Amino acid sequence: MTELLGGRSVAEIADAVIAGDVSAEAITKAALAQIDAQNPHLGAFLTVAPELALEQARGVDDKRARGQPLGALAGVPIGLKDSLCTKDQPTTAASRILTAGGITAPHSQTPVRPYQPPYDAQVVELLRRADAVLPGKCNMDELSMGSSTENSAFRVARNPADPNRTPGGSSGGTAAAVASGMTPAALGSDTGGSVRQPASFTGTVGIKPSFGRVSRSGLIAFASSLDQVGAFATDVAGAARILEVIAGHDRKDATSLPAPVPRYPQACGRPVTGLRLGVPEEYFADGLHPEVEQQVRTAIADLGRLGVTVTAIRLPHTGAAVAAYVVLATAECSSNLGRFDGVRYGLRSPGPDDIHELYGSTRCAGFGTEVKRRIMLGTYVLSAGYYEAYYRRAQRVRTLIIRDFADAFAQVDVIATPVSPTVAFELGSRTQDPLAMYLADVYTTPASLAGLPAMSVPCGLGRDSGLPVGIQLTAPVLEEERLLSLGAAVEQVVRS
Amino acid sequence: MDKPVIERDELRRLSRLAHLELDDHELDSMTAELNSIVAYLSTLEAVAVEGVPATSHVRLERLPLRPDQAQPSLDREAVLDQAPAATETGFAVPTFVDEG
Repeated sequence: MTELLGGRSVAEIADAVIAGDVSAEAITKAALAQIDAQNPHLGAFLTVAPELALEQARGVDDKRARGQPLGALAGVPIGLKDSLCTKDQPTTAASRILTAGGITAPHSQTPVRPYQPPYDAQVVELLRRADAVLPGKCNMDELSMGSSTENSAFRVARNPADPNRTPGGSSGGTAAAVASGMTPAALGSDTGGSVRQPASFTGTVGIKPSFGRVSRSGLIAFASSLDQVGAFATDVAGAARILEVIAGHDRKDATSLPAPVPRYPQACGRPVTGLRLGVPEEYFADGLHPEVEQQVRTAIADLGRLGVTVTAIRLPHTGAAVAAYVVLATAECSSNLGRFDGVRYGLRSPGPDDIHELYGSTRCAGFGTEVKRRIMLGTYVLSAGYYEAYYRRAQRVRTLIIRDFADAFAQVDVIATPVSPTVAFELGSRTQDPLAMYLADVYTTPASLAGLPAMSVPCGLGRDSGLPVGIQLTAPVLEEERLLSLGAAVEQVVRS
Repeated sequence: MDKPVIERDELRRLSRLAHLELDDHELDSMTAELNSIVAYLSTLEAVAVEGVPATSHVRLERLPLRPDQAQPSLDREAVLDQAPAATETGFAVPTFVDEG
């Protein structure tokens, strides 16, 4: 049964279902069998909905039997990060605040009456229209805050490459689902690296589109000027097919761009000869583990042999990116998370007769430590006396980082860097040092601050650890096609 | 700007602003953690930003407007069904307005 799914890409599955070579129901059963076998240990999914998934799959098969055209993702099982609202499945963002009563018992993994959204996120609706099958909701760091999925209120997720290590975060469950073969693709979200870093840690492809390329409607917000829905897949072509489906303007998201959506899959086979690749020296300095550097530099050199021109560039304000990101993201989240107040949905603390006590006790009971820490930090940097010194200053640093990239893209077409300073780290190794966790986002936060599209593509295994390493490709705004062309070329050189 | 140090009382004040009822243990541990993080954030002081405009949003100076026309909204029953407490007319909360 699992042979139906194992190793097949998004395109292979969809094309086979469309051609009638395999039924969507059979594919879905294979995916559910993989989930049954692996999820208890890996913790990739928080919620699995087998009956719903099979019903969707049978719907796809019925359409085909009636001769109706099928969507581009026909029969493809796609995991969804649990911060994406689904009207037929629970949505908790891995937080007790979106349950009616936390968890059933200490150390339980079962949320009590999880929140049930009355609507689908826009990207979920688009996946449904494309005839995808949605088997469940994936584990994550609580409310997208974290880099290891250890902040999930319900359970940790484990890296399929080494279950004693993290799959990354905050979209760690999503990455683990794809890397382990439970689903060939999944949707996550990326605010400061939460798609790209887990992709690098798990040996999957992960793309964060340009800010505004994909609607955020129905994505539970962390930082509204930074969040973007992103895609995981087993290959670049799969990511391209998903991006084509989910990209586009949405009137429900006022920040979504009206730009037309290119035929992204067609970018995957384009020759890359003559493409100018920039390599910033700031990303290859102290702190980068040698085994990561070796794999990334090897991939860059191999691209050079395909006719890509490699040029050293400078991004001088890279060192300030993490600090600017922490200020801005926590400031925005402290505002966004004000909506969790025990009034309209989710957890409400029993007892308080006073509205302010209700807010305070509900939020304290519902949020985990990292979420509280970020709310407090955001409140601080926005407070009177500190607003100019932190928040406004960080906004100015953001401008400098945007200018750095603009200057660089006057010389080059794409920028290549590591995704993370290390390979996947051991579970529990960084939970006591929140600052260390933040600093590890050094290579991914700049593209987030600048709103640029960026993608992690597997480029080999670390020579010491044997663990996956990803190369990050960054392009100018709305130039996802360049990423996909070059990403496909990386796959080509890595395979050879 | 002098290097700020967040005192425990300041943290308690911030927690009230943030509507978080932190207990003593949380206040203690968070005081140390936040001071460590804020010390790192102070490295932004070294970046020359004079004359550099602030970016609040990468691509939007003003949110686009839509026509002022009523449009369908969410299903009322489905929304109220998710509320921790509701009446027929809306969400139920403790009284907070003096009706005297």
